[in-house]
Amino acid sequence: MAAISIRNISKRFDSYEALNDINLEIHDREFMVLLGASGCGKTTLLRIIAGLETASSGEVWIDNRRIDHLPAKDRGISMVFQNYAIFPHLTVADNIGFGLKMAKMNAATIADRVQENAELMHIEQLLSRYSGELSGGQRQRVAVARALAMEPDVILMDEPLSNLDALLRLEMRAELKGVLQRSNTTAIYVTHDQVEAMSLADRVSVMDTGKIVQAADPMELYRNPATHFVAGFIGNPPMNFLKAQIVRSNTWKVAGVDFTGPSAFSNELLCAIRPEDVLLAASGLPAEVLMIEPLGPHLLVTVSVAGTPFRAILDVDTQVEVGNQIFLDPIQDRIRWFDPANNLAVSI
Amino acid sequence: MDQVGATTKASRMVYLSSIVLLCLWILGPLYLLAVNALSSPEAINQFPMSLIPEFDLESLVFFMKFNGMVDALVNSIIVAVLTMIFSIGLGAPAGYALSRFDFIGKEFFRVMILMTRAFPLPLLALPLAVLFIETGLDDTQIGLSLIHTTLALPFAILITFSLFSGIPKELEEAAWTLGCTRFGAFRHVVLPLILPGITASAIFAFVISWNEVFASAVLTIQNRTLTAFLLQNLDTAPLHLKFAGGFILVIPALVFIFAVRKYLFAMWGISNR
Repeated sequence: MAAISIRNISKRFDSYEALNDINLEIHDREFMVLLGASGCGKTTLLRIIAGLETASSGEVWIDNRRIDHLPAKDRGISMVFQNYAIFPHLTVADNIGFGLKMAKMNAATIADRVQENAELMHIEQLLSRYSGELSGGQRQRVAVARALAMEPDVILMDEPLSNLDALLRLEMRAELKGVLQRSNTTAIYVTHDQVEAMSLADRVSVMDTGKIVQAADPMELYRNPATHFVAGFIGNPPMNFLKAQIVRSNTWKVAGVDFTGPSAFSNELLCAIRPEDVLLAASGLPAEVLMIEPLGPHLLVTVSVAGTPFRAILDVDTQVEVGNQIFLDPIQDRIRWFDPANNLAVSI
Repeated sequence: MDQVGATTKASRMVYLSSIVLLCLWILGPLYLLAVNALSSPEAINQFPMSLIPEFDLESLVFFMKFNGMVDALVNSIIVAVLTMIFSIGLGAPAGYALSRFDFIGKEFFRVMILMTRAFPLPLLALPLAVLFIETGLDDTQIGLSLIHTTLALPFAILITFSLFSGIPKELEEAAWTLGCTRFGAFRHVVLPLILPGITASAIFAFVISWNEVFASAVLTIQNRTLTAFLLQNLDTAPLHLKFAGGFILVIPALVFIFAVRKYLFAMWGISNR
């Protein structure tokens, strides 16, 4: 059992506010991903949970234990670092067994657990090597095995895949997911890669300038972004935004076309449409094609809708050319609305 | 094409000849010293002298038997070992602090480390001698080793600073998350990694003390170190004795520095040589 509760955590570096009143509940055995651009405070938050950084104010609880005053070693956590942090003077086996040795376990138990976790990460043939003799991917496996060998309540990972090349990252991602599902640990995973976040997480917390803007499961995050920021951050490319003027109670005019939207409460809203949620049609949003990028599975077409750049993902066989006037028909129930006054989502 | 070839060839010639020149500059005198130390007294005084050593140990044996020489040798070793202990004992923690902690005046402190070398020792010798006599430290091995420590300490700090900086902080942090205290992480992770470098820096301190002559000559009378002893007897000693003494002085310094040269480069941030 290890549920984590982060309460009112703030962190200031001199005058710079890295974290601003963070509150987050992470359930037992949940895989939580902290997602955000660099400098948003996600790593700082992870390091505060780990005990490598002290919060300026606030509390961290694991189950019924307040841990923010404890040194890292007494928190029941283990951590995987971005640059692996494999001890270069020890063999792979000694690296994996390091924490167990520090806990003064007997040699036989250590050897068993080292073997078990090495097999789990498929590095049992490397046990007598030193980190200098390993590739990046192998080092990452050692780092994960070392963290898992501790059988921690909570495993913390700080961009563990970001130093790997693209193919290896895909492979390790799938493997990590499997390994962590089988182990009964709660995991907190920091990344700036939204695909990684979506694929791994039970829940994703999107962070921006020291705040958590939305914490939700990946599909919810994708379908119903809570703020303008999340809508403009998640998705590749992210949502398109078009200005909408009120016509009457629940009807809004976007680029000259009427759409059913939220009941009136202000005169202007932002209409948000995912690139893949439009179809080429005989009527709809009038658009001029500016650029066509064939990406293999589909075409990424940049158009101008009433002077606003708009990106659409169209079928690869679509016949369009730069300069064409086309019509894009959005899927009605996937349109989202945001209030430009406070950048929050408006429900219909 | 030819012109380019000629230019690279010429620059290569200049490069090679400067290397040869620099090597001769250092190795020439060393070779002559070795030849003379390893020749019999008669051979040294004859003219023209041979450039091939006779491997006659008479001079060295005579040197070792010379009155007070062994005592001076022992003194030199004691002072150098003390210097080594003091400068690592003080320098390594300072180097660690410089590389790991941010504190007010850190940059100033780093500059001041080098500034300690800006004052020529002769300038400080008289006040120091007075101070030492007042405190009773004069003519003691420990007193002299304190002076040598001030000479060696800046290097000890700078070398250990660069050694500690070469060890990623994540390694320590990883150790903390794996159940180590701050001290435990230092002992199990940092120390094994820097031990060779620390050894090198200790040897460097040893050599600095071993080679130092001015403070030794001024601050000791009975407990002369080897350098001071040789300086004192330079006028009166026969030629072969000077060569033997010089040889004995040079060899340990040379061997040690050669052994640890990699880490001395590290001090200036060129760690991959």
